[in-house]
Amino acid sequence: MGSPFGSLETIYYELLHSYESQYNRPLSILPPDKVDFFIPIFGKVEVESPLLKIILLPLLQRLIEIKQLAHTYLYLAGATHSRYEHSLGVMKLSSALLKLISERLKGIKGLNINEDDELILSIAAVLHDLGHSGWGHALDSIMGKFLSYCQEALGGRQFYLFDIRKLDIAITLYLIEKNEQLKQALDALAETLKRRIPPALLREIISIIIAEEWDVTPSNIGEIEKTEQDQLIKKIRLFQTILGAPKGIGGINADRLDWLVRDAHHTQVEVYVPRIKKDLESLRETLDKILKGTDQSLVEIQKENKNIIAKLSEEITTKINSLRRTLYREVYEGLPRAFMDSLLTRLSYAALEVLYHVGKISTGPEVLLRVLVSYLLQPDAKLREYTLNILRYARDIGLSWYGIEELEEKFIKRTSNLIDYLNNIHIIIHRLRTTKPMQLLLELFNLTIPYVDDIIITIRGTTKHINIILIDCNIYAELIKRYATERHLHPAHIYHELIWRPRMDPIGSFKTIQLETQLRQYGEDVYLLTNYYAFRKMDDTYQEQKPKTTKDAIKLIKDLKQEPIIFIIHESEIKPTTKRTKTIAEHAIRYLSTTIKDTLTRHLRHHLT
Amino acid sequence: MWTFTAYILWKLSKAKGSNRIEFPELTHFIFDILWKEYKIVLNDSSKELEREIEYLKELGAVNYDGYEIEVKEKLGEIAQIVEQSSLKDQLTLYREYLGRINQAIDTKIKPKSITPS
Repeated sequence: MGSPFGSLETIYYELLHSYESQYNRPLSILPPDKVDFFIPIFGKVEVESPLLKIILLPLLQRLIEIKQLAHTYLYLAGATHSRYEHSLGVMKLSSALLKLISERLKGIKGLNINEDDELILSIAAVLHDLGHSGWGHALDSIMGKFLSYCQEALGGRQFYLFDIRKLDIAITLYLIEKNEQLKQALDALAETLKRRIPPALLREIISIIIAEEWDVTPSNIGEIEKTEQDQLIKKIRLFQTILGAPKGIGGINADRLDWLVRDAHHTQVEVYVPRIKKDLESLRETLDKILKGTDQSLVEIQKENKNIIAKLSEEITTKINSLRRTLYREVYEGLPRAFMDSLLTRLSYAALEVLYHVGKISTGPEVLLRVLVSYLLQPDAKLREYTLNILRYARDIGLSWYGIEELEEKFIKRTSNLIDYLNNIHIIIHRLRTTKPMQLLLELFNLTIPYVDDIIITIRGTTKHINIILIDCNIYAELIKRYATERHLHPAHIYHELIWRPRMDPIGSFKTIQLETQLRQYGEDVYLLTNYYAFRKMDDTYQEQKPKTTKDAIKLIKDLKQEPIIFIIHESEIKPTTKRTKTIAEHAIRYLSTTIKDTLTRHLRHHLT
Repeated sequence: MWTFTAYILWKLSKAKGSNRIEFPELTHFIFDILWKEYKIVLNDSSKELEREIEYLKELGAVNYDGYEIEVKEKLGEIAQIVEQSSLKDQLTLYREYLGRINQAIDTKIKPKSITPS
């Protein structure tokens, strides 16, 4: 018996069809012997037939429609470049780097770099972003939820549980292993290699290079001669340090080099931050020398134990780090971007929840997983269309039929109202960019809270006024401090429960729907958006600084200052009064305090018992 | 993930019945057993893992001389934070992380006898 509603099932099967017909059905590509691509900055990228069979796959061509910087183009209008352009750039750069050091590598015993190796590195480079979802990194935030669904659907140990930082890599590895078109193309390519590498081993090699898992050896390594096994492991590790920079090891990171210069080029960051012009020009010159192969001294080859590690010189690395910080500050971060990503997080989180429940009662787990992957693989515009359609249908029907619990249903339906915000995003973003937040003193808590006042948008023909209250890291740290200091908590409490947990599940961790329900008592619509990126930044900073005391751990959060952790949107038909905004802010602060207290008390309770 | 490393170390020491664990035993468990057999990827490299051990040492939870890790009672506090996290009720994924680690320890670790392969 089908559902009495049908439309959600239609979308579900459309997504399945989209994946199967475009990306999964066997395909025979007969490319020309050679194609010259042209990309900004690097110019010509020559690609020959074996690799073309991978590049021309619809799965990879999909990256043409994935914008590298998601919605940044709304205010940096040039930032419309694609992950496809970036992937070709990384491939060209990786290949040039290997050529640049190949002469020196010849002197290393047991490491004979040959044409096969160049091809393998190029495949890994061009596939490194294969699993990237639309909307930039906004969907990184749903990794915890996505992997939970995979686990619930498949059960057992059927797939790798990755660190939550790696959504795109988890999907890339899933595709390398399970996608029929890609598997077929890689298997055919394995046949063309001069040295025999069994197809399953080749897929594993590519996966390990992309995932930058340093200490892992392919489980199929026994398929090749024992004498070649050590050499293969050395090569995999060397390639990891060319394409990326494994944690604790470091490396050149061709991926980062490419996005640095490419994003800077398309956003024209040097025009509004002139002080980086010199460093940027210097980096471009360095890349030019790498591409022309004219200066071998740019790359250092280090031997460590049995491993060969490729790195750039200290001087270049310092410049890269400085440029990276500037790009983060000027392009990737900021209030508009945080708001946009938080909105997209909530919309996709709810849509994925609907899809999962529809699939659970409609198809088997393997198909369900393909549908979820298909949703995430949709190009930017399609992802928007699917998300909005799923939520629109979900708004109008009872969802308990799908086994969705009451609270979840409420969350999904309220999230569907946020579609109107996506439709008004230009106005909201530009207001956030041009307005300095006002400050509201909450005497009750002895706190000052920022808010953006009276953004006017149109929702289904009606004018609405919205205020956006910003609960930032400064406030978060203050609330944690008030509770934690006198209770002698361990820094691990702060890290695991108040940084890592929201990073793993930003929406679930703050029980969004409960707070919204409470706030509705004031008679107006209030929506809560959690900023995943703030927790990611806290986590990264924590890993860098490794604080030794709880006080230092809290300071680290406080130092992130105005980075919002939660946006509270307060919507009404008339201009909201300051008094009303204040009442809502006070309620939210009280709620957040209680959430922090409950989370930490839970541990103390267990600890005492 | 340093809190998971603390949890693993604590559980390993309990299963072994010894508060001393050699670093190669730990890397064997993380990369050969957990990664390959239990499909759970928590660390990218043994160097990264070693940095986490150094941090646990700074927190007073272990002693580490570059080869042997001595587990101290304080490590149990961190292990308990991981074990009792609110995420257990919140995400299937979290329960699965802990489940696979526990299962690997129960199945693979015999008292005082884990040997790197």
